[in-house]
Amino acid sequence: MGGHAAFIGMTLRERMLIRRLQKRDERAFEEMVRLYQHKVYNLVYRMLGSQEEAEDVAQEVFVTVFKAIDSFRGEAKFSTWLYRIAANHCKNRMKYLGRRFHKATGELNEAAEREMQDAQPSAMRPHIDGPDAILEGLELERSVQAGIAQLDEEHRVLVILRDVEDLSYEEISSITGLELGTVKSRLHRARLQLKDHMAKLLR
Amino acid sequence: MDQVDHTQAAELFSAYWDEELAAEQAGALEEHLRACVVCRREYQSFERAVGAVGQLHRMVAPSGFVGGVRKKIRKRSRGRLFAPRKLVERVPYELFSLVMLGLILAIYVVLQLTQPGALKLP
Repeated sequence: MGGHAAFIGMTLRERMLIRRLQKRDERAFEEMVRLYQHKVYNLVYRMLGSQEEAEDVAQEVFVTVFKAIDSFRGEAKFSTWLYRIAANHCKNRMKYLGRRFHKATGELNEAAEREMQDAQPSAMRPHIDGPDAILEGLELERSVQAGIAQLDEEHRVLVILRDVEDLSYEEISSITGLELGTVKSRLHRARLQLKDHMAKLLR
Repeated sequence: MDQVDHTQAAELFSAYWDEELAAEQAGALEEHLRACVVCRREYQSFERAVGAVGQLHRMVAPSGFVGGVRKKIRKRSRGRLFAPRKLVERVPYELFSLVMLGLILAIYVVLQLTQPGALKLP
């Protein structure tokens, strides 16, 4: 590659943005954060289940991106690199919280409910209409988040990347550094665990 | 693939959900699910759980998120991480200070010249 970035699968806009980021352009940085903030926040929130933790960790992700942008060589998509950083931050935070005996399931449920009631644009949940449907939606959302929270970090990240973020197995393999076959088999185990958790919760 | 048993069927759920099975394998699984009520219920349960994950609403970063990140970077790097901005993109304090110095100097000169006994300009 001769020291030059490959910038595989990236649009011209993304390439320009990265070059500007590497020159420490503050405006490019703001543009990048605006572009990816919701993706990163959603991933981190689903991993940690707490709004407060998610905001802090998602911000840390962007700080790391900006600090490490010189090491981005373009061998993977920028979003893949970003997701990798986000996943690592989540794992570290989960370990840290685990060490502090922070069992967040109850808090997660409350937070999920609060956030569902908060000002989410109605376009984001178009199928929820009347009060019964809202309650049903809340109940399901809570059960799913609780089910995700029951998974260990290795399984949780796979379910979120695949079933929440809708990424391909190849992208997940690149993000997690796992072999394709390992991604598939672990994801299968994770989904079975999720099925069992949810079956208990919804019984 | 001829037929699948209960254990094999459960092992194929994920690949079936992701439409990764070959037509023959998918057909064999479907046949088994039609015939076996236990596996059919298990798959329905699997489908409901994984489908619900995909239906979770997208969380949106709170307002002020970008400012929060910028603040963290500035604080930790003491402003060194960002390249200096061009003069037109920020408040030009250098220019302000020069103008202020010029103004102070001008006032001083005027005051000196208007004092009684001040030197007269030729």
